[in-house]
Amino acid sequence: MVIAATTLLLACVVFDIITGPADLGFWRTLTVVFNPSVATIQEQVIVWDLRLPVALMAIAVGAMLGVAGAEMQTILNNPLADPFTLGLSSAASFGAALAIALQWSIVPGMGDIIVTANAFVLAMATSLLLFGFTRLRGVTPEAMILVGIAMLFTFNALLAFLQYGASELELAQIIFWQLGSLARASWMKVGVCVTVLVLVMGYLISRSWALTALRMGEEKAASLGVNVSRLRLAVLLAVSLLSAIAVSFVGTVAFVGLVGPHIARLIVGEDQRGFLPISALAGALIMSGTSIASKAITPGVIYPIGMITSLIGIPFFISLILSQRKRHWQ
Amino acid sequence: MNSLLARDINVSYGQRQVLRDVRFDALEPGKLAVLIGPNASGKSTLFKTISGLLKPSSGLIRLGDIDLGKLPVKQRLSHVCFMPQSFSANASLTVFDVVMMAHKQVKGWRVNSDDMQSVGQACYDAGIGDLSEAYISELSGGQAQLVSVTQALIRRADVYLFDEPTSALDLRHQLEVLERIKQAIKKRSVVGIVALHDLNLAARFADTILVMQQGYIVLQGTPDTVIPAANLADTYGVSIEVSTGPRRELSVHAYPV
Repeated sequence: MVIAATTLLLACVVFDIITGPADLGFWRTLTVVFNPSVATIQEQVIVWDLRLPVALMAIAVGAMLGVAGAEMQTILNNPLADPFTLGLSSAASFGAALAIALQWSIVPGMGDIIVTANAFVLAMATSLLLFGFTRLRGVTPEAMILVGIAMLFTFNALLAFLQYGASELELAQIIFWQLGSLARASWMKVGVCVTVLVLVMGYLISRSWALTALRMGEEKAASLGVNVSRLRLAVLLAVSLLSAIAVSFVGTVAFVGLVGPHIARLIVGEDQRGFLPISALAGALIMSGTSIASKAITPGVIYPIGMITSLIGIPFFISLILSQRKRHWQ
Repeated sequence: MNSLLARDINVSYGQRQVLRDVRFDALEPGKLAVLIGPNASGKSTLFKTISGLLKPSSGLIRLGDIDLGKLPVKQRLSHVCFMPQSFSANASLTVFDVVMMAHKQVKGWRVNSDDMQSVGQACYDAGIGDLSEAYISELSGGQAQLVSVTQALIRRADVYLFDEPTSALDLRHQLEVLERIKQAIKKRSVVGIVALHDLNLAARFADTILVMQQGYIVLQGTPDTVIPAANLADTYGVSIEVSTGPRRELSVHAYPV
């Protein structure tokens, strides 16, 4: 299963790299990837500085959102939890809009990365607020989802407020940011994403039985020796970091964090040892496919990915729901 | 093997005191103790307190020479295995998955062939072998309870606590499950306490009966001494008649007052 998905993912990456406005051809592109010295400067720039970071960023961000959604759904015991429904994406959009419309930086001295920094800080602040809520006595996971949805609407309203007062140029920029784009990818960002992803995955894998146990209810998990509240806090922090970084780098990408885990659940069930990697792979596949589609729909034009994730993901998802599920212990 | 005893345990949820000076004398290993008492008398709370999931405001719980109160929760759960009354069954996990989870004590990642074999055997012994590929969300209440008992029995501990393991089972399975628990307790020579509502089952399977009422343990003794006691009528707020059958088994008949 994992091998099949990985192979498919590799194919997607290759396909992602060879498609683009400049037509380099299949073999020429692969030659540039594996042997940059023979390529012209222009080809090198196209492949190494533009296409490769975008292709890898798609995978990294997809995997991050897949993992974040999977674990949010696990710890909050709610199939609707993901970075989008918990308000993290809207918080990031509002942060970006603050920077674009008012040039107002939350952390001073950010210079060029003010938009990304604002988005990250607000997304992280929102999850810290959610995190704070879990510490209050008597707050159930259901209540946390409601708080997240309240956040979503609050930030959307604030965002609308900013948009109302913004100039046409700023408005266009805000909307473009919100639609999400992989064009902002760079090797540095890919590096940050991969590092954080590897660290968080390592932690989650080490707690995989405990997370699986959590799906049987708090009391049952506790009776098996899981410190439920501590696990919930640690995982929430870890996945908040993942999603805050992902949305601040590429903008709002709905659907991936929600659907990636559902695809994994339908295929391998919720034993975390399969659920976690497949969620990551499913998220990565959706994003990589999106990246290809965003370039392929109209040759020469790259559409924002946020628009496309849902369009290509939903038919696949519906067909998966409708098909009979079968699985075996592996 | 070690016996279990409790002295003056007090537990409160906020303002509401749920356990009041709970004490019971040493429960011997290899013998099955049955905890009875009306709803909300504190049975589940007592189990959670013994297993360390709830902290008592005062009191002592001792297993042999070990003061359980002094052990960290993780270590304590290696001595005490607690089966809660219910579990959430809306997860996409198979019966095999969840028994494996209990077997692995939620530690580590790898599953080797020994693990596979013990889990398969446990499922077979429990009569749920044919269910092992089924999702827990598809189980009936009774089947879920059989899974829960299997999860408890696959673990190794010195004390086993079962919170109403038979409440959703049909007659045959009630008898089978209690028989299996009783045999396991005896064979492993460990302490076992089962909370039950059915007084006839309690009378039939218990070596010792503990009676809880409003947060106190009001009686402790063999079925012969506890069941006929007039106190039970008072405890449950009913009138009770006890008769002895041809094989000296006690049967309890209750009537509303």
